[in-house]
Amino acid sequence: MKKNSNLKLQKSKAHSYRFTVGRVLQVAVALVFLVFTARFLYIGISKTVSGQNLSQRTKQLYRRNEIIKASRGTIYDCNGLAIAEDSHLYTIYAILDKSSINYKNKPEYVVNKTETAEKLSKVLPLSADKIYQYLNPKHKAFQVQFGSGGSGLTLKQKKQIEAMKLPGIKFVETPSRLYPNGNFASHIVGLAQPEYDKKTNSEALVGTMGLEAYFNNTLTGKDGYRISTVDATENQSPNQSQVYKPVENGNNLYLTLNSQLQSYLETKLTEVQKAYDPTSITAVVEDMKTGKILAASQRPTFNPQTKKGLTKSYRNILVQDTYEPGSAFKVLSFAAAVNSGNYNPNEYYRSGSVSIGGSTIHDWLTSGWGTIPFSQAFERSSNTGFVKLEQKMGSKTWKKYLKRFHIGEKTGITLPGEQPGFISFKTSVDQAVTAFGQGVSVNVMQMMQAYSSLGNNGQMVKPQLVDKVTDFNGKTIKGYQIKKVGTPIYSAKTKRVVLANMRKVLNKQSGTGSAYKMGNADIGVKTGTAQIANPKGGGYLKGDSNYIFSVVGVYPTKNPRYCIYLTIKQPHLAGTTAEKILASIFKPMMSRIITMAKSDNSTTTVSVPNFKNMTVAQASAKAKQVGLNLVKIGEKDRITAQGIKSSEKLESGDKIFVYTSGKINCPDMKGWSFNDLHQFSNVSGIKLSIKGTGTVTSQSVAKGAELKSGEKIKVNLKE
Amino acid sequence: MRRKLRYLNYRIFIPYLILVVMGIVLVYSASSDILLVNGFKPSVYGIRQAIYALVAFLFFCIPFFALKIKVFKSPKFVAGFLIICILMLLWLVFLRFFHSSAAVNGAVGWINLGFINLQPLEVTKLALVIYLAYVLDHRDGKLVKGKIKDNLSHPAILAAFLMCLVIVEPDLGGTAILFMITLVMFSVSGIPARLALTWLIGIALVIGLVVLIIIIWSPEFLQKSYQFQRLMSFLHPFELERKGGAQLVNSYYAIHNGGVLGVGLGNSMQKRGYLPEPYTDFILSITAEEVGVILTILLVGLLFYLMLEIMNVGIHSVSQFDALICFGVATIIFTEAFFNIGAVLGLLPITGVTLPFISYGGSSMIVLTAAIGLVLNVSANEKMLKEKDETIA
Repeated sequence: MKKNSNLKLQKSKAHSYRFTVGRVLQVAVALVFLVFTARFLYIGISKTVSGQNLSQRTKQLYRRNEIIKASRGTIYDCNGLAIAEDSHLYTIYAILDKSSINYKNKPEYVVNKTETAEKLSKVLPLSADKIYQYLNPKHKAFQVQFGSGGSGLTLKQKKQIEAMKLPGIKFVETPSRLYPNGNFASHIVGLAQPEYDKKTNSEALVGTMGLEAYFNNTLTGKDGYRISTVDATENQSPNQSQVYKPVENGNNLYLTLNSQLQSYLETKLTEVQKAYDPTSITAVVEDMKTGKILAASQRPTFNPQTKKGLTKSYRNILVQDTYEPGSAFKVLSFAAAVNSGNYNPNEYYRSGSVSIGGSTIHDWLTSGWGTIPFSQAFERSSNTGFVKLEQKMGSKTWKKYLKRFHIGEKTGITLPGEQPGFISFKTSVDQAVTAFGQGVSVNVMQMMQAYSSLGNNGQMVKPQLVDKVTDFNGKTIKGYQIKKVGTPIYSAKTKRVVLANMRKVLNKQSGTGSAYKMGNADIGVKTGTAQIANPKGGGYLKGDSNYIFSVVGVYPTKNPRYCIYLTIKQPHLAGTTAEKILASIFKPMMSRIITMAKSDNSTTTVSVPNFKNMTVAQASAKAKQVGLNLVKIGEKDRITAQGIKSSEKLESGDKIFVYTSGKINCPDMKGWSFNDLHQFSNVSGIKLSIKGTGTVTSQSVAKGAELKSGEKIKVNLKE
Repeated sequence: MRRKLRYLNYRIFIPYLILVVMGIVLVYSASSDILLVNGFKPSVYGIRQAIYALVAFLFFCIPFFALKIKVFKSPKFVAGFLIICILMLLWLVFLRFFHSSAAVNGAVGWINLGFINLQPLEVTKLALVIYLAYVLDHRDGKLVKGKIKDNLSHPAILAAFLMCLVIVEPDLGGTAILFMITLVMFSVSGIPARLALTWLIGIALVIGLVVLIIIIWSPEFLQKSYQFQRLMSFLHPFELERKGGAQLVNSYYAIHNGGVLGVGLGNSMQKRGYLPEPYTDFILSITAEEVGVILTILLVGLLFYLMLEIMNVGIHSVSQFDALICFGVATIIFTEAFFNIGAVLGLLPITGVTLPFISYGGSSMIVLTAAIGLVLNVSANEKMLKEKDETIA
C-alpha cells in the first residue's frame, strides 16, 4: 500500500515534470513558427537574398526579350538590279571556361583543344597550330575569338563547322552589306558598315557615306521585339501575356542610275585612270528633262565590297569638292549675253588679249585670231570675246544671271556634305573672268543643274538620284517628281542660239571640240580648260597638265535630253591631248546614250501572240500585223513551239522564233542579238556557247548545215 | 463510438480537415503543369491525393479513433506493429545491398505494393511512437534518479536499432525524425524537467557544433559525399546553383515571385519545370508563389496550431500512454514540418522530407491520418477519464 502511494506520488511528480517540459517544447515550436514567418516575409518582400537580386534574376529566368532585327533596305538601280543589299556573316568563338555546362549537364566548353584546332583548321583560313594558340590564351579567359581568320564566315562555313559538333564552339551573327557590283558609283551609293549599338547591345548597319548615309533613316527600319514568359524548357507559356512589336524593315531605294550605263562608265574611267593617272576624274550622265542622274562616278574611287581604295578616296568629289569650271562655264555666260540682247553675232572684235583694270587677259591662243565676229567667240572659246560680252552685259546683269543659275548655292542633291562654292565678284577683273569660268567655284552637280536649263527651254531642274522609295513589300511610298529650280532663265530662242553654237564647237576648222565629233550625231559640246588655283595661294598653277580639262555635251541638239559632263584634273598627258583622253570616255558613253535614246523613242512594246498550231503563213501574217519578224526553225509547216511565250513582251521589230518540228538547218545568225540566240536555243534545243556582247559576227557551224539535237554551236558577238 | 464522437476534439479535427483539403488543391495546382507537359491529365495527382486522403480517413482515421485505447496498449499489437516495421526496413536494406537497381535517386525507400508505393519509414515513425508510449507508460513513476538509465536503456537501444536501419538506406532526414521522436518522448516521460531540458539543449548544441566544425574544417574525405555537398549548396545556393543549389535558388525565386499576395492560384512560373517535383518537397514554395506569403504563413500557422493543440492534449493528459502518444505524434508532425519548411526557406539543408498533410504522397497521408485518429481517440479518452474523475469526486 505504501509502495503504491509512493508510486502515485512519483507519478504526479513525473506528470508535473512532463507539464514543464511540454510547455517548454510548445514555446520552442512557437519560436520555430515565428522564425519561419519572419523568413517567409523576408524572402517575399526583400529585394535581395544572400546578396542576390531575386526580382532581377526571376525576370531573367522567365522573360525572353527577343529582338527581331529589322533588315536594311536594298538599294536598286532604276531597273531593279540590286546595288547594295543585306547579308549576314558569322564570327566564330570558343568558350574555354569549364563552368559552362548546358541544362543536360553536357559541357559547353572546348573539351579537346588539339582535336578542335585540327578540325577547325579544315574550314578556317588558319593553321591548326595557330588555332591551338588562340585556344590557349596567356591570360585566363572565359571565351576567345580567332582574329580576322575567324570572322566574316559565310553561312556555309558556319554549317560545316556546326556539323563537326564541337563542344564550346559558338557563333555570333554580324550584319554586313553586300555590294555585288564592286566599283559602282561608289561615292554616290556610299557605304553602310556594322556599328555597335549600345542600346540593343548588338551590331547594326549604319550608313557612313553617300546615299547610304543620307538615307540612313529610310533604309534602317525599326527593330521589333517580343517579350514573353517561358517555362524551364523554353516553351512559351500560352496563358501569360506577351508584349509584341512587329519589325519594320527598312525601305528600299530605287536609284535613277542605269546599271548598264554606270558599269560602262566605270570601265571607261578605270581605263583612263590607269593610262593617265590624273589627280581626279568626274563624270555625270543626266536626263536633263527630268533631272535623273543616269550614271555618275569619280576617280579615285573604292570598292565598297572589299573596301579597297577607301583610305585614299573618302571624298565625294562630285559634291564635296568645288573647282573653277573654266570655259565649260561659257554655256552659262553665253546664254546670259544672248538672252539679255547683248550678243550680236555679226559684230567684230579684236581677239588675242584684252586689258581690264590693269591686268591683261589672253585667249588660249595668245596671238588670237585677228579681228573676228562674236559668232566665233563661243566655238573658238575666246576669253577676250567673253570678257567683252560680259562688259556689254554689265556686271549687274551678269550677276543677276549667275544668281538665277543658282551659282554659289547648294543644289540640295541627296548626298551628304555638299559644298556651295563661291563667286568673287569684287573687282572688274573678277567679274570679267567669271564669264569664262575662272574666279567662280562650283561643284559638279551645280553645273549639271545649270546645264539642265538647255533641255527645258531655260528652266533648270534639280539633279536627283532616287527614282522611288518602296517599303519592304515593294509598295511605292514615294515616286519620282521633277523638281523645277527657280523660273526659266532664258527663252527658247536663246536656247537655240546656244545649242547652235555648241554644235559649231565640233567644227574641224575653228571649233575646240573636234575631238568629240561622232559622225553626223546630233550633239553639241563645250570644252573647258580651267586653271587650278594654287592651293598655297598666289595665282594659278603653271604647266601643261596643271588644268582641269572638261567637256559638256548634250544630245540631241534639236531637243536636248541627255547631258554628259566630264572633268579630268591634272592628267599625265604623255604625248596625247586632254581632249582625246576625255573623248575616250565621252564618245563611247554618248554612243550608248544615242542607242538608248533611239530605242526609247522609236520602239513600242508588243505583246507576243500565240502562234501554236498556226501554219507558217498564218503566223507570218500575224507577226507582221503586230510588228514582229517571224523566224521559222524546222522544215514542216505547223508551228509546235515559240521562242517567247504568248502575252509576254517584245519590242516591235524584234524577231520571234517559231519551231515547226522536223530537221533543223543551221540559220545564218549574223546580226542576231543575245535575245535572238536565246529564243533560237529555246525552240530548237540546240546548245549555244556565246562569247562577247553585242551582235553575232561569227558562228562555228556553217549556214545550212543540218543540226542534230544536243549539238553545240559556238558564236562570237561583238559590239 | 457515438458516445466517443461527443468527445471529438474539434480543435484538432478541424485544422486536420482544412489542411488535407488544402493539400489536395495545392497538389493539383502544383502538379498540373508538369503532368500536362508530360502528356498526362493535369488532375491525376490531385485526384490521387484526394483518394489517399479519403482512404486514409475511412480505413485509418476512423478505426484508430473508434478502437479502444486498450487495443493499442496491448503488447501483441505493439510488438506485432514493430516487428512488421523492422521486417520492412530489413527488406529495404536487403534491396539496397543486393538489388541496387531498385534504388531511386541513390536511395531505397519504397516498397511497391502495386496500388501504392509504401514507405516503411513513415509507418515506422508511428510504430516507434506507439512502442515508446507503451514502454514508457510501464515506466511511469519509475524514472527517478538513479533508475533512469536502467529504465530507458532498452527502448533507447531499440530506437537506435531502427535508426541504424534507416540510416543505411540512406535517409538522414528519416533518421533525424526517429531520433527527435525518441528524444522528445524520453524528455516528457516523467524524468526530472531540469535533466530533460539539459539534455535537449545539450544535444542541440552538440549537433550545431559538429555541423560548424564540418563546415569550417571541410575535410577532404567528406567533400565528395552527397550530404556534404547538400550542406554546401545550402550555404552557398547561388554560387553552387549548377551543382545542387538550384532547388533552393528556385525556391527563393518562387517565394519572391509570389511576394505578399501571390501571382494567383494556378499561375506559378516556378512549377513550369524550374523547381523539380513542385508537388512534394517544395510544394510550399509553389504555394507561396501562387497565394503569397501571407496566406502561406496562415497555412503554416494552422499546421503549427495543430501541433500545439496535440501537445496541449499531451500536457493535460492523465494517462502517461495518452500523453506520450500526443507528444510522439506532435513530434512527427513538427519534425517533418521543421525540416521541410526549413529547407524551403533556406534555413536548413535539403533532407527530402515532405510537408505533413500537404505534400503529395500516400504513405505519409495514411500514417499521419492514422496518427491523428489515434490522437483524437486519446483526446476523447482523456475527456472521458476526466469526466469519470469528476463524477467520482
